[in-house]
Amino acid sequence: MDWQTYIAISIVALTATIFIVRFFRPKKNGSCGHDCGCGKKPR
Amino acid sequence: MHASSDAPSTIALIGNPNAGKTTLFNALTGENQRVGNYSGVTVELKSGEFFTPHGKKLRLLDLPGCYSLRAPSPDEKIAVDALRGELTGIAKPDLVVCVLDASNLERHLQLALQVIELKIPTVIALNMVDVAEKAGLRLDPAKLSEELGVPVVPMQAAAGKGIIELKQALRFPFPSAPEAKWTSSNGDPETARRAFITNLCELAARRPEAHQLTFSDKLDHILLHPLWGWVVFLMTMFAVFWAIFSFAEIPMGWIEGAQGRIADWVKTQMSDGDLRSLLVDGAIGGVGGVIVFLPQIVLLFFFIGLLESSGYMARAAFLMDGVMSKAGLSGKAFLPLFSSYACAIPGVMATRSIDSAKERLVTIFVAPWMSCSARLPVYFLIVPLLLHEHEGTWKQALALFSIYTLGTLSAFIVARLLRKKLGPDVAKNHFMLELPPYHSPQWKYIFRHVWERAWSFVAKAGTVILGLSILLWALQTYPKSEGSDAEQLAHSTMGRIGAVIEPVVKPIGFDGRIGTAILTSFAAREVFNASLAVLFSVDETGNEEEDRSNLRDRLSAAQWPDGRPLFTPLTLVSVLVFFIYALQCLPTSAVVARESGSWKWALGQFIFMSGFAYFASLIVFQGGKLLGF
Repeated sequence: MDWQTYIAISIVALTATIFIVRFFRPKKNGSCGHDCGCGKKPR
Repeated sequence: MHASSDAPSTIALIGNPNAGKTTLFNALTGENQRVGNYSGVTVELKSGEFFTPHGKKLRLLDLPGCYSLRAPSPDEKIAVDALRGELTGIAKPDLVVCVLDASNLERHLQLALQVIELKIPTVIALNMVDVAEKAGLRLDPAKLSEELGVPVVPMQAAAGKGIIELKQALRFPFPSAPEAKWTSSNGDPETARRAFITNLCELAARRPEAHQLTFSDKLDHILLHPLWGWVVFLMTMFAVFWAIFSFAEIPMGWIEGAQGRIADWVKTQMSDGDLRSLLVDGAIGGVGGVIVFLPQIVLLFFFIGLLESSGYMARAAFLMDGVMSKAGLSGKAFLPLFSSYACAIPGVMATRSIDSAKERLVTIFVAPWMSCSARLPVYFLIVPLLLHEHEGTWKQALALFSIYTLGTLSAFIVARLLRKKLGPDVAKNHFMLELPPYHSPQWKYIFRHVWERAWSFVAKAGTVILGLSILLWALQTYPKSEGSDAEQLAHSTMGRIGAVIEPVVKPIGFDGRIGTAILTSFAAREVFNASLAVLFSVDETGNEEEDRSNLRDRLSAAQWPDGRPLFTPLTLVSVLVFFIYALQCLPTSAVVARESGSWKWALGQFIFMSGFAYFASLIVFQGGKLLGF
């Protein structure tokens, strides 16, 4: 593998990691109005 | 009541939509905010700070516009929670400034009375007194103040008049909480409020000629007319669509040209390799393919801003209420669904002004079926192939119109079924829409609105779409093969998935190559054309129309292994049906998850739409075969 492949694979791995971390990170409150059945409970 | 002397006291700004609340907020704090002449502009809490003439620092909260404190919509819920001090991290307001439109005092006073009943010190900002006076109203702010028991400051926030007087009224110590004298009588509070308001308006906001028609009233006789209203509405919408698609072509060409030049420059600066391919094909190609729609988005929001600001959008929503009710939705769903014709992302974001949470979810759910502009390159490729014609004939225009109609009708039918399935709202909602007076557009705010939306789109393209483009590039690049581009794609992870799913897509008339192209288009639909070009070995010429023509020639000649033509008319219709219904747009799913507050909705929508697209194509293809096509 040449240097370009190493860097390209590193960028792909970093991108995949960011997506995974973002997916599992606690979410901010949505603005669903709380009576739509989406699972958000009023505070 | 208020916080320690060091901490600034909190003032909440509340008022009906279109009362000029955000304009007043900007005038007081100097912060720029979006202002529109259509309900639901302020959808989140915004805050700023300012000083009274005596040097006292105050914190100002700009609450979303609301008609009452019944709180059926997300916007109103935020406002009520903030007034009661029930929002985490936001102190209970020490004083409320209630902004009233003096020309619509009877209606706006409803909210003011409810605020006074909360027993929070209140100051009334009697805005737009100039409009009220032009309409013939004889206002008596002193009498209003005496009857309500709170200070009343007449003003014109847009012209900066009355700001100093309002700041004077906010001097410390704040006025004490007023007594709501209309609540002393027993009986229905709503009736008591109405009686008090009628009496108050007789005393302090008299109309010398009860039936005097304003310019807006006269214009509404035409624009809300059962026949002429619709004629004007349809002509306006047609003009907007025509302008978006024709004016956007020029800057879209510039973006494509710039994208090509950047890609060429990178190619000259780097030797051939994976990193160069990642930059050129993945990052520049992927982001450029989405950024190219920026001119259409800019134009759409420019026209939305223009229609909102002039006051016409509220009339359009009023007219559309009857049509939308057929789908179980209200007139407020019109704007989000209309926006979705350009792109579902701003459409989904525009659902925030819908009062009913369930109606909002239904609107979000069906918005991607309003054929967005990203589907157009696919339609432009397939429709001429289906009709054996060059691009641009009236038959193709008719086919395109049918495609748009099919998507829209399907969205309405599903919305109606889903609305019924979700059941009635917990809180009753009434479609109440302010019909503000017509006035000349506020250009400064329109351009700010356009800038904010454009920047939000570019930011999304630069983050989520860039990331997705990189991942899709990797799926199309690894594992590597030494053969041609077509062999490389067939050998890649994406190609292998395409081969694996061939038995699944074969019943709808597709082979593994079409399946692979569809998989690649989940980042952005228009990638479908580029993937087909790679899979069917078409060289790019740099001219989009010529490329599509060359690709059509290749597709016409493509065959199954047994020699049968691959792209029969039935297969082409099947592809079109699949693209009308499938939700091939991961950024839209990301926005749906954020707006609905749940990934389950986004996932459910994705599975439903993809499944629906598959079965619709299956019925078309297999049904067509049975009928001998």
